[in-house]
Amino acid sequence: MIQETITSHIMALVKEHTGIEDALSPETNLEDDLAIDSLERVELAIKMEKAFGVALANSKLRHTLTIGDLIQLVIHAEQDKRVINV
Amino acid sequence: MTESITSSSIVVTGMGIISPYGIGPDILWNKLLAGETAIKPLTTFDTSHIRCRVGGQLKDFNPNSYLSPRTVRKIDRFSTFALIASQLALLDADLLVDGKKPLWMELGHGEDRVGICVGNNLGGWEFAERELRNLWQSGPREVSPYMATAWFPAAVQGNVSIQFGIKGIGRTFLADRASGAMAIIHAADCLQRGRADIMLVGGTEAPFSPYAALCYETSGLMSQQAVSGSPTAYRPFDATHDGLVCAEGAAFFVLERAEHALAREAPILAKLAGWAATYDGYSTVQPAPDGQRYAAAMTQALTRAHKQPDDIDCVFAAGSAIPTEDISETRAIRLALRDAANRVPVSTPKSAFGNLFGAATPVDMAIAMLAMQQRVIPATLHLDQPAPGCDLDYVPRTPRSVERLDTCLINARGMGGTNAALVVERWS
Repeated sequence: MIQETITSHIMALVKEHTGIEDALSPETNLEDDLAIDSLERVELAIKMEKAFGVALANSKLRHTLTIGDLIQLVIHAEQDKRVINV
Repeated sequence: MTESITSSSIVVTGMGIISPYGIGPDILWNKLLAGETAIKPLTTFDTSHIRCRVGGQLKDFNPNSYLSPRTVRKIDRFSTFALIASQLALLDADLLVDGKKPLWMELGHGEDRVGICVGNNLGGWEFAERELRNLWQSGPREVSPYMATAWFPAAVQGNVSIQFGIKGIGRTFLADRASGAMAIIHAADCLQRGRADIMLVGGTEAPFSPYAALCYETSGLMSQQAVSGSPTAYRPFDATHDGLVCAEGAAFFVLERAEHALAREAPILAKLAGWAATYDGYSTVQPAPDGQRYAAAMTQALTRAHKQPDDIDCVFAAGSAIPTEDISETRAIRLALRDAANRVPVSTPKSAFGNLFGAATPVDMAIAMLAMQQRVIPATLHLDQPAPGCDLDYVPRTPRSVERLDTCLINARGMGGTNAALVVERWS
């Protein structure tokens, strides 16, 4: 899946999840801008796992601060998946 | 303020209620006076495993009308009730700026002088049961991460304090049907000891889920005649009493020292004049049959309120409709009020809508305050023929207008021998 597709998909997921209509960017801060706390991050991560068919490690999820970090998390998880499949 | 016990009056400056009839005091009061029951067959889950198949269930309640869907999915119904009732109480107390943000959040100071006390019995089992089903059926990844924060009784205290920026005292009380009374007592004590300037206090309960209902069923408290779906199954002090019917909802109040309330020109709804709690030390299930410690709670509350039995215009009884409890409560009222027990009306309006357990006393207190405003005592519904040993004036079937209704005694008791009593007085 190309990065643009992942980005737009995650943006849509975050918007649907939070109900926030404001424009999002990779720099949008999860906690400061969207009030997504650690538990809600787990909830969101489970939705992303289902949407992209990947596994997101809790240890890495804990270090995500922005939407850009979530995008990178999924991209890396997709790459890991490809390596395993190869 | 350093801690020292003051002689200040404690007053109620705000009230928020969600009863099985709906939201707000007006619908509760109007339905009570109309003698309309809110007890109906339970419809939100299969009740074939229990006998008490009716309850005071709030129908057509859409939490998304009051809270964002994002908030609602993180919390159990009992927190939803508490958040809404708390908001209504703060609004009623003129403590919300533009109806939204509490004054202390807007000013940026004083939040450490605001406290919260919550009475609850069950916790958030609707949420917990759903997530446990997900765990067993689909695995741990399907369990909401909010399971960690949604289900336990103190979740309400956390949710409300976060929502309204309360940073002073926070306590949650679990004492069966006296939980709400214990919360009110502690809040009043905190104010009198100068530990807080404003206390948000109340109770909340959401008992309608299969496991929660089963726990109540096995407690032996529930009416067995409710198996037929009868709306008249909750029959305090009646010859055919055989237990209570539970209900859901919440009631919260804002309490302050009178001088604090007057200084900010707050509306004063009533005075919380006295309170006390005692314990039977008798049995984990049965109340002490002699009613002596229960009577002691009433007497101590009257003493704190500087009242004599003759000053009491109405008793709002715990009225569990469990035969042993009805008899011992009658006995305790006689012991506490002595000769005055022959003339003081003793009502249990909750027979019309159910027992809210952790919120039972807060709802009773709300009804007592409304009754004092209107000088009308709501009736004890479903009381056709008093049971042997139940020989007080229970205000059966129809409400009663009275000339004087200035001071009310409110009783509470819980499994394990908890007894509590409050004295609420008209503010003048």
